[in-house]
Amino acid sequence: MFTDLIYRLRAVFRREPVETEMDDELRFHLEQLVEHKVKAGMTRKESERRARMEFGGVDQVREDCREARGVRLIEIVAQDIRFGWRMLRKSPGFTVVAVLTLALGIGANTSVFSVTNAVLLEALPYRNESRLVMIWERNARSGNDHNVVSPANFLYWQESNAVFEQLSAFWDQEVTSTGRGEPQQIPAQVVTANLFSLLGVSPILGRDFSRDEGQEGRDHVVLISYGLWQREFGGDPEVRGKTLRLDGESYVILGVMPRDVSLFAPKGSFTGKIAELWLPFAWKERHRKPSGRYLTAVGRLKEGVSLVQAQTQMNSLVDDLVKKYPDFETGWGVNLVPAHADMVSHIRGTLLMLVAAVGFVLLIACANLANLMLGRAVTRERETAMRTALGAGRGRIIWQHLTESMMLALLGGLLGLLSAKWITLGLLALAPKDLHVKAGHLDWRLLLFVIAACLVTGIVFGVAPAFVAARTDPAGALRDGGRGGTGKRRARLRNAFAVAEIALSLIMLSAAGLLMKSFVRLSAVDPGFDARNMLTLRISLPGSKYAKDEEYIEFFNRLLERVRAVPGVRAATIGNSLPMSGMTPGTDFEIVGKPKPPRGEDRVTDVAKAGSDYFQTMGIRMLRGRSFNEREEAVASHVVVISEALARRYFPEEDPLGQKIVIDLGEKHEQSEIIGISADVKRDSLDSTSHPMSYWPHAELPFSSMMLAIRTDGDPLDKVGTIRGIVHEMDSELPLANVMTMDDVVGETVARQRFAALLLGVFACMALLLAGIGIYGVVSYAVGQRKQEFGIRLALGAKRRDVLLLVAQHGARLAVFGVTLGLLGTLALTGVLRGFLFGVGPHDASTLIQVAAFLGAVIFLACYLPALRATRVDPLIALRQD
Amino acid sequence: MDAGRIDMPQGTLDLLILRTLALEPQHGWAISERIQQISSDVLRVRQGSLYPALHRLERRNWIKARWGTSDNNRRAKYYELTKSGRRQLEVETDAWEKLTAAVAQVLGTV
Repeated sequence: MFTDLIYRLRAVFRREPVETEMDDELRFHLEQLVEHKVKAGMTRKESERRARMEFGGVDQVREDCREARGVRLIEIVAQDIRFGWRMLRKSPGFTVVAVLTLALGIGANTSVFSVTNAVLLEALPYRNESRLVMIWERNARSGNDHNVVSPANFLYWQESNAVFEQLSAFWDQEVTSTGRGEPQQIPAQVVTANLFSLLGVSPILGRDFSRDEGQEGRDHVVLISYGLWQREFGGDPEVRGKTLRLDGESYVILGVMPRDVSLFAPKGSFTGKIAELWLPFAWKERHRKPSGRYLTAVGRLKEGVSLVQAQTQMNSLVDDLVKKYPDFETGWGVNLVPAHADMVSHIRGTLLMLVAAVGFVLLIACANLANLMLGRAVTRERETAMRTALGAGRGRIIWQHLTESMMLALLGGLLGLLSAKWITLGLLALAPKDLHVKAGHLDWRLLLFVIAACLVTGIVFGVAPAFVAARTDPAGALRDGGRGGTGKRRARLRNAFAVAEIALSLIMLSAAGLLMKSFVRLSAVDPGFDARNMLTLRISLPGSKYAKDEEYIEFFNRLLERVRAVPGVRAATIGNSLPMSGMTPGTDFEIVGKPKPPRGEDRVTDVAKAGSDYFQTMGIRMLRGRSFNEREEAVASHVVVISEALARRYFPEEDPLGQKIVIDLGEKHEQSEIIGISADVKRDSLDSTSHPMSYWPHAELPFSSMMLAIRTDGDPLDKVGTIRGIVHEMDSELPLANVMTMDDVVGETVARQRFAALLLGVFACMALLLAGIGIYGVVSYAVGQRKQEFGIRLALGAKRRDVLLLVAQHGARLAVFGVTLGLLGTLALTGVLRGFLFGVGPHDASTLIQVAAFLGAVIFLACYLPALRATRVDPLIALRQD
Repeated sequence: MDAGRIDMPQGTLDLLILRTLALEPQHGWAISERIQQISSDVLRVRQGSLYPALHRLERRNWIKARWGTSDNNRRAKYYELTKSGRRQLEVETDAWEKLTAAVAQVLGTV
């Protein structure tokens, strides 16, 4: 094999000596032949003549020898490339259109692939990441299988399991950093000290937590992220040992973690943000008591232990827990998910949908180019015929054409690779923040993808035209310039491509249409409150300065008073968690005078703390009863407002007003009277269902971290400066966090749907444009071919309308076939969109009809222009041609 | 086509060249002469097939070439068998014998 290659290469590169040697060898043979004949008694002259005749064509022998040496293959490729280059340069218009189309198609694919690669395929930056497993609790009743974990359960698992090398737990929270310019909130993670050793990452500077860090007295240490190190400390190599003021207390910096090592589990995060610093967490005795769930747990499987084995053992541990704590554990299970899959589960679907969409665009681009190439094959018929007549075989012609399409594909790919960078930037700019999409680096996978995309593309759009070209009948083509039998087959092929384009774009348009309709429906959902002209922000009082409940109440009341006095502020209120602004605490409750429900069917409610004018400010309707009064807001008076959903579920056949409930939150277990029923509010997002909800006056359940909701005249963001000033006057170390308009808050909950709808819309438009161009090309080519016929028809008295109709028929046939195929494809494929759609089925008839009609209109337009040209054929000129 | 001569089946020429070169290194002309002589003029090798075959065998590394001087003192390209060529000759001879024996058997019985 290797000597073979050397031999071939020597034959190619040392061409001159090899050729001379061959000539010498053949001349020697000829001379011997002559000698032989002279010896046999012929005259020398006669011998020479006969020898030459016998020897035959020297050139033929030489060519065969070259082929035997294996020179030909390489030479042919080089020759084809040179020739292809000349042909591409000869028709720059065609080349530019083709390369740009491909650049767009391949660029979009490359860019989507690079993101997909970075998010879905790239391994997490941890040692043996395939053995990392996220551990969630599963709630049978709510169906949530990604519930955060109770510390008591975690501790039991840690002590009793035999399938994990180590288990770690953490939770996300925000901390307030002061003493370094503007106070700011930083997303942080409170982690068990072994988290990083479990993950297998070490600090790039300083050291990791030691095992006992986090214990009382040893818990004021912190690890910082690479980003924070760069941003806040300018990458200072001496950062170790410096202090950070967090929530009013000093923390010593132990070390700096490498880039991108934050373990972010979207389903367990309270902040939805990637942590920038880590605080140690130590187990205390009280964690053994089963109460509350808030941990995210991760484990490293032991060597050789499978996920199924681990799940089986964990199931049996949960069975133990159910026996041990029947009140707390009944109805709960455990769910193990490989860490990587878990981390990308929220984005996987969107990305795969994008991959499919850009794949479609590229396919349509291919169909378009195939049609262009077919058109070219026709204009080049004479050239092909000439080559055939001069002895080029079928394979040779096919090879030549494929080389050209390959060259186009590679050029397009190169340009696509360059443009992919920009497309990726656009993609990332559009992507909702909470998707945490990242761009890929230019790695071998990406390069391989681009090369593969080029090769496949080149073959896909090049193969049909190449075979068609090779079928050229040289005699016919040379005689009359190519209007032979191949014309019909070719036309059929072109029509087939056009039909495919229509079908593919219809599928794209349907998907985009469904997503857009779904988005519109979603946006029109009534959230249960009025999001217009509302500013929201969070203020968290550090425990070091504000220790007592009265201090919280006093601070927020004073703040509200001052904010309400700001000109342009119509109303202001506080709540511990406004709708759609993060997690809401929930708890069990009892109804006074009613028996406890059976285990696992506890009554549950979300708990919201609300100011007296909360409902009025938020625009939440009171259905019955009343809201809190000023006195109830200031002094705990044991009253509560419940939501409609709570009333419906737990008081189905009686009047809840006047009844008393008790919740299990904090230390107080007071009986509180239901004084009002409010309309339901969408809690997490517009497509979520409404949970049972109870609202408590701030005095009843004081909280150190509250959100402000401020209704303003005009743009709410105009008031941010004033409000920051007020807060700083009251306490210069308090940052304003999560400053957003309520419109944006609501918008973010549908950002994913908007992202999907927008991108699919963009790609569908690209598809539509390409398809339109393709159809225009096919129809106008057909018009050009039938010019003579139209001329005759017009000369014989056909009306222009008749000609128009003939062309329109052609377009209509394409449209009917394409749309039918496309509809079938749509019905088969859009089922995968089901999870993305809200309020609209994947086969929504009205969307499909609208989309098909729209596509039909575009097809009509694409046909109309060539048709118009057909009617303008001058019979005299048309007939004079040829 | 002269009477008494037959066309060579595909691949036979390679075998004959290898066999001829197994005796001693030879140039192209001598190879064709030798094959013709030994086969009593039944097999005649045309240069149109001989030289491509030689180049092909050289590419496969079964024979190698060097320039030498012929009997009549002319510069000529001599081919000789390489080690792998010798192995190939054995393989092909074996295969040929099996083939002819099998063909003969079939022809004999039918």
